[in-house]
Amino acid sequence: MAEVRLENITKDFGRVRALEGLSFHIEDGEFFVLLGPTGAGKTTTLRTVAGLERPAAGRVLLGGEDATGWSPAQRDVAFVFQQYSLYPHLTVFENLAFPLRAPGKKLGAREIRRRVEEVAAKLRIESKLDNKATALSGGEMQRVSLGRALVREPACFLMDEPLSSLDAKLREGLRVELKHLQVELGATILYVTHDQVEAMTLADRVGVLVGGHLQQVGPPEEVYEYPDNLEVAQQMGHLPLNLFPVEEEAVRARGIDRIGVRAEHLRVLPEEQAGPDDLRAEVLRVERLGAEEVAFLRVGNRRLYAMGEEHGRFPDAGEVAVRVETDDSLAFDPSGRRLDRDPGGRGEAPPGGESPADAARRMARGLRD
Amino acid sequence: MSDTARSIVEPGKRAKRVAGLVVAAYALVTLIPILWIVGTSFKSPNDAIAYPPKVFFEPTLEGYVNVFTTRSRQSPEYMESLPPPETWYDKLVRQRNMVITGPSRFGDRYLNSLIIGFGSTFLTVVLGVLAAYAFSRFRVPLRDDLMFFILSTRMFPPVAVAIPLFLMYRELGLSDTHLGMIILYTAVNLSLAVWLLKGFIDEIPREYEEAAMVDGYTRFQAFRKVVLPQAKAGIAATAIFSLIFSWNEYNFAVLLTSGNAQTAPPFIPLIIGEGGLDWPAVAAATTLFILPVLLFTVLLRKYLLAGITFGAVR
Ligand SMILES: Nc1ncnc2c1ncn2[C@@H]1O[C@H](COP(=O)(O)OP(=O)(O)O)[C@@H](O)[C@H]1O
Ligand SMILES: [Mg+2]
Repeated sequence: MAEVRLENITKDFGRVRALEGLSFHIEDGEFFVLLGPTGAGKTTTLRTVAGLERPAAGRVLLGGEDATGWSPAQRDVAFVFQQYSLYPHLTVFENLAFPLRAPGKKLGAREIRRRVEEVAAKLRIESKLDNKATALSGGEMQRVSLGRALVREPACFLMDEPLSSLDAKLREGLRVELKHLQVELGATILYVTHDQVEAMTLADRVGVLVGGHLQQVGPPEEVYEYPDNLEVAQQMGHLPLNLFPVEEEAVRARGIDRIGVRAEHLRVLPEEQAGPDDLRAEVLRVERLGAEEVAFLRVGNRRLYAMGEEHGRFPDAGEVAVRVETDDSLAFDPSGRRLDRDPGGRGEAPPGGESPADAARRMARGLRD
Repeated sequence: MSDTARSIVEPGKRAKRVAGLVVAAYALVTLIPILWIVGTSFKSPNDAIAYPPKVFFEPTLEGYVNVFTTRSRQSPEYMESLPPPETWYDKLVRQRNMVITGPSRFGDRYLNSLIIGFGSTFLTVVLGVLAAYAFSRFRVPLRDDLMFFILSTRMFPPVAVAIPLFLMYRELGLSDTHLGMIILYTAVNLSLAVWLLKGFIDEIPREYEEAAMVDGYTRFQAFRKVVLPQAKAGIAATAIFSLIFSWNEYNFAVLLTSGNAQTAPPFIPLIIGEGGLDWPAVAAATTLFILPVLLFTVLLRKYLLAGITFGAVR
């Protein structure tokens, strides 16, 4: 395994700039997740590391060596593609053996068989080895394509949304297995996804990529709690961020343009606990997902999302009181940058002013009136 | 209503029966000439020209013997003086007061057809698949114009280039050579081959090659291990079309070949027996001539369908 470093990578497709000045590094043995919406440039980043795309500018370093000009075969990285991962004309065994039969490898037939069987056992696909690759279920196919990467013992793994085509239960199962494998092997993994749950659960560190720009890098909890800007906050949330425009001059004067509150931080209160500062919201719809509930609310002409983990927290219709918790609101300036970016200073009122949460609450009052 | 469930786009029982009848009738109509040729090849010369035509007759291999041999008529006294015939075909020939004087040139011509037909088919497939791959995967300058140009070589009648080609071949010393005919048929077939194969290769996602390249293969190795096996149907279809064309080609073969590289099509009509055309021999030659393409096509027929529909049928 080896460390991976990207320095100032820029990549254009005709007039489209897919990546701009992208720099980050992945430590040896680290699980790095690149999170971003569709079209953010995630696949392009992976393809650049693999050598399938030449960057217009910048360098790729593998294990400390400049690999920018190397061919894909020279780089010794394994790629798990988003789709079309298995060769349809080969059996599962032949698919798994394919990387081992590469011209540079020179492994004996017995060694190949041993390694294929070892990986197949690890991924629980031993019984499928003689199947045609096309005669597998989605979960099995994805296991085989993970296996094709694992047999190689490469310098690092590149994974392009490997779980996104699977149904939820399989996805969760494989996610756990993948993390387990990575810890066991001490593998260096660059994993790309648009799913924040995968980012939160898998990553040692997560990088948020939007529009070809790397917005923020850090441990997932930190990026979730202290997003640098609006885009990161929106990527790292389960549901769309509730955004309140700030109209009050005193607050605007301090540079606060919008207040964001995550759905899981909007507290819904029983009527009797409601205070004068709390919002009154109309319940439009409640989705009961078993372990959690999501409510779609309306305040004035604005939609809000609220999420809770207790049953029966939301009535199916009618009015509820909603409170914005002081510690959990995020204040953004007009350009979308989050204010109070120093984690230590978060939630506390800056000298001579009120905290963003106070502002949010007062602003909410304005909404209701 | 039918008793079993079926999709509404699926044809009904009656529609299927009607379609079956139409196909059977069509097959019969197209098969009659072929069956007649095969039948004639087993007739005696008299049966072959009998009027009204004979559907039932005593089969003989005379036609086949005549195709492969040259014979001469002898006087009854000479025939008497010969030792008894050694083989079944000697015997067959002697019944008509003739003796075999040597092999005919049909074997050579047939061999020429095999060399030129399969040679040009092989070359067409190799060049076609490489060109199609390049057009499919690389940013070739003026790609669309080039593709159109390639197709446009099919748009004029072959006769249009007959004279320039004749002169060119004479100057280059390619007239009446196997190489010349292989090059010519390859050039003609290549346009269709490139178009057909490009369609098939376009259908193969690049990710497969990229995966192979990341796994340590070069582009050419990836092409061989990943693209070629998946383009099998297209390659087979291309091979059939190429073979059918170069096997049957008549005009250029008449124009450009004579003694050395002549193929079977211009030779067969020249088979002359005593007192006019030897119809059973012509029919025997034709039957033998149809055979290789027939076998090739039957063996690869499942790909042929894919080829006609440019890969739409899987
Ligand atoms: N081969 C290509 N040709 C042209 N544009 C491309 C190509 N690949 C990607 N792009 C563009 O680059 C941007 C990033 O794409 P991609 O890396 O695939 O995003 P993601 O994987 O995050 O969804 C998109 O705007 C996409 O349209
Ligand atoms: Mg992608």
